[in-house]
Amino acid sequence: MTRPIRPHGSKRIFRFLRRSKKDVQSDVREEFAFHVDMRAEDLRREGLSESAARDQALREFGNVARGIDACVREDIGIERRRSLSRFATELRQDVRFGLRLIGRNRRFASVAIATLAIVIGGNAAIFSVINALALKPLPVNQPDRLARVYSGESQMSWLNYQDLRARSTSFEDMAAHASAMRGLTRGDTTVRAMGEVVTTNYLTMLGVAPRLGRPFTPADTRTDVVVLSDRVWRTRYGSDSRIVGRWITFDNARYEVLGVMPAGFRGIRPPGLVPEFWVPVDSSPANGVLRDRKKTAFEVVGRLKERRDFAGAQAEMAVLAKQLKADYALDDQFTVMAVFAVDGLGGYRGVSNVMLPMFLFVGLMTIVSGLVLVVGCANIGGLLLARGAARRREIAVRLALGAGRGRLIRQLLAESFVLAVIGGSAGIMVAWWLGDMLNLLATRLPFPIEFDLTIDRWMVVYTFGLALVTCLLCGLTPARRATRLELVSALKDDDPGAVRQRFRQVLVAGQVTLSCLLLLWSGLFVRSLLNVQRIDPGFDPTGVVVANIVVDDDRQAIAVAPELLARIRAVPGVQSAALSTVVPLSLTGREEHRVHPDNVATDTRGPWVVANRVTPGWFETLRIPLIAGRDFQTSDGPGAPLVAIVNETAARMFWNGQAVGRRLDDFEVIGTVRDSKYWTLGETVRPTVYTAFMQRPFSEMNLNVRTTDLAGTTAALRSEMRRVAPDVFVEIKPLTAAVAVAIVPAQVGAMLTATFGALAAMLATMGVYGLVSLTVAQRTREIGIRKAIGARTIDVVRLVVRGSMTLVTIGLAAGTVLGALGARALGGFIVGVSPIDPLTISATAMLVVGTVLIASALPALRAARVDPVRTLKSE
Amino acid sequence: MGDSTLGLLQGTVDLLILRALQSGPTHGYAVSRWVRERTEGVLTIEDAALYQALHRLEGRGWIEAEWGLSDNNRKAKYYRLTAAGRRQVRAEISLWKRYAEAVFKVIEPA
Repeated sequence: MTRPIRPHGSKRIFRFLRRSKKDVQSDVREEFAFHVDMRAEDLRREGLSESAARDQALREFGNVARGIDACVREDIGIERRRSLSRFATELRQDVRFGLRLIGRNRRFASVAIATLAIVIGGNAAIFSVINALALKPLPVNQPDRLARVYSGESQMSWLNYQDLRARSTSFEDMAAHASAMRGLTRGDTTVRAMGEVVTTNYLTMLGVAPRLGRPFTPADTRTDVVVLSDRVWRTRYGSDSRIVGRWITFDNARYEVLGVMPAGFRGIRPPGLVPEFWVPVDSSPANGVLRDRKKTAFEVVGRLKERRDFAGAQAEMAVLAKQLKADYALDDQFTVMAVFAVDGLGGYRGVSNVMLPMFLFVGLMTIVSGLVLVVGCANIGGLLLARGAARRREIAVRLALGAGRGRLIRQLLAESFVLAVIGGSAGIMVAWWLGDMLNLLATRLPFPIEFDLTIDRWMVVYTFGLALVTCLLCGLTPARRATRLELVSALKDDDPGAVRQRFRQVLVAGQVTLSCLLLLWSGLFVRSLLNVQRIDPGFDPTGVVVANIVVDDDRQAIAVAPELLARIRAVPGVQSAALSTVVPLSLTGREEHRVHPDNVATDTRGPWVVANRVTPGWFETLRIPLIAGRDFQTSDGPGAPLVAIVNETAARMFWNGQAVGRRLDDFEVIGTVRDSKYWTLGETVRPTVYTAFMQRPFSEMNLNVRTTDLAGTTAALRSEMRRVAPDVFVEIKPLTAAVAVAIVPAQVGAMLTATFGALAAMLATMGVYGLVSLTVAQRTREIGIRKAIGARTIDVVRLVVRGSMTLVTIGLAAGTVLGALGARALGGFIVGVSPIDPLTISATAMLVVGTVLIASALPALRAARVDPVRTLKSE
Repeated sequence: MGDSTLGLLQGTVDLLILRALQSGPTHGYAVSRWVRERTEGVLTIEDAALYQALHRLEGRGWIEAEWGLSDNNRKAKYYRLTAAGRRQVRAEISLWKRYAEAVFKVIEPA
């Protein structure tokens, strides 16, 4: 009655693929039809007529349509479950298979995983910086409702802030904050701490709970309280959990610690700069700065009311600003009135000129690390390709037995998938480590820079996504190639085919191209670093001590300065001493203005200049030569006509070099000095305006002392300061140390590009080595024959090396051209080197050719040493 | 259904099908004929319900189906018990026996 369909207990070799609904329906119909036909036949045999038999069969069957529906529904469910479980089983099989393959081939696996860990880790580390800079939300409560009320380059005065806050209807609340620097004393040592003076509602408005204690609130009226940042708490107080309630010394005044903010909290500052403390604004009547509408010192932030938007708030603020401007004749304030989001890239508005180079650099590093990734990919792809070639026969057998090509490809990709998971995990760890290194590097800078490089969801998604895409791209072509073969020739084990070889050659040539490009760039950065170190800053920092002094206000500055200078000049060894507000190249402070040469009123606002305020003798102390006119004198004091000195660049730009006697806004130009660098060594000198410190005092001043005895003067300075102003914090260091930070950006650039360049070169060398080893292995017989008929070792080596040299030449040429083209984009980062610097190019070329020579000569030598008789016999 | 045939209790159809397949793989028509012959026409399953049950049993993994050729060389769908199905049929038979014995004990005079 039945016929066995396949031997009992055997497994199905071929399965139905998942059937469509239509197939299922027609199957059920056919099954039913068969039944009805059979029954009708039986009934006819029992004597019924043809049509009666059929009628009865159908009657017995019952509701055909409903039966079909029910069966089809059931079958579709079966199909779905079956294909799902088949997929799961196959996936499990594939992953297990991939793991086994990797386990069996330890060397391949460790090379591939190490490569992945490094290239993925490098990329992930760069991404973590981008993530910290632009993607991570500001760590405060509802950052998207916070708005900066931005009133142009100048900040806002206390009274204006108070008026805006009182009149505004768009904000739930507004708060003001200002940067502040304090000397934090602990035991005998005092260090500089950078923090913020804020209104008492600032911390509560941001809505972040402290990790310890409490923030100050609008109810607090005391001003001798402080909230510390996590970093200060960790580094200066050893994470002391009993810090709350303790008194600490700030600028020789005592403050009670109220709380410690959580790690990563930075108020509403853009990423990077983390304030180290927050103290309340002293709004007592004694604080004169707050009573003067012209003293702009504050930045303002507001939390939007529900159902209010930024545009509406901006419109309202513009109207209020116009009123204030008119009421109080504030011509130079509220040049802009903008309201924008604090969160996201909006947070960079107003500081973009400082942050732009950073963004460009991060962008450049993204490109560089991406290129290294591609080079690493080519290696992994090459390895997988070689593996595919080696397993050609096995694959051919399986294809011939009827294995689906898709399934085989998936199986080969499973290996890539397993690699991706392992490589991605390793990459995350590498990125984590690199992030730590980066933050460690940042501690060398003179301000509290810390990036939140903790691994978040985006990091994980990015890293594993990258690893997966990388591995699948690496694995797909080899897998497709491995399964697309001429069965017969593969089974007969003919020559693996020149095509695959050529693909690997292209890969290797591409690797050489990219690593050449990267080496070229890193060469330019290194050369630039060397140049930067040789660049003449325009002043002489050796033999100068700088003391950074922060006093309460401008009045105290004027009061302290003359006596201080007189006492210091009397110290033995001191040659000259002067005050300045800015220490050039120290990255600690800068001042920028728009000016109007000759007071010409133009429609456009005047050109930008950088500025410094100095006392007489400052140019002499820093050995900046006076070119024309005179230096400031003691007579250029408060009440005397305002005077200014400009640098050569300003004189040339504004007055064709003849600056002395000309007017610049309210100032008369009395002298011209030689150009010197202001912010970075690599910059082109900017027009610079020096004004007399005593005419335009500032509470943060730097005492510059030229001396023959650095140590002695430092000690003397300390004791003198204690005598003149006992409660003022002073930070003293040699000017050479202060300006050393100016080369940090160049160092970081050179270090990063050199690391990535070296990495790329190493990966490319591995690629060349792998390719040559494979080629040599495939040509063992040929080499044997050559040796048998008299070729010498050197001939064989030359034969092999010649082959790889062609590739290298192509790669080198392409890399140099691309590198030189790309280097134009580096213009802003490299100093004093042409993008097509012949020295760099030739050094790169020699390096690449040298390493490739070694990488290909080694396997060639090994092949040439093999005894020809043995080679020929083994075949 | 005439007077001489009995309606089937829920679950009985499944048992009958599984029992029919115990003697080897076969198609739905053979199952239907086997039931009719073994019960001498007392129990009849409406064919549409039989097929629904077959597909349901396949869904549960007790039987599996494959196309094959019938004795008269027509394409027919053959069902066979799976290992799970064989276990199931043994379990259900013993359950039925215990059930029937209990019922008999109740209805037969002691």
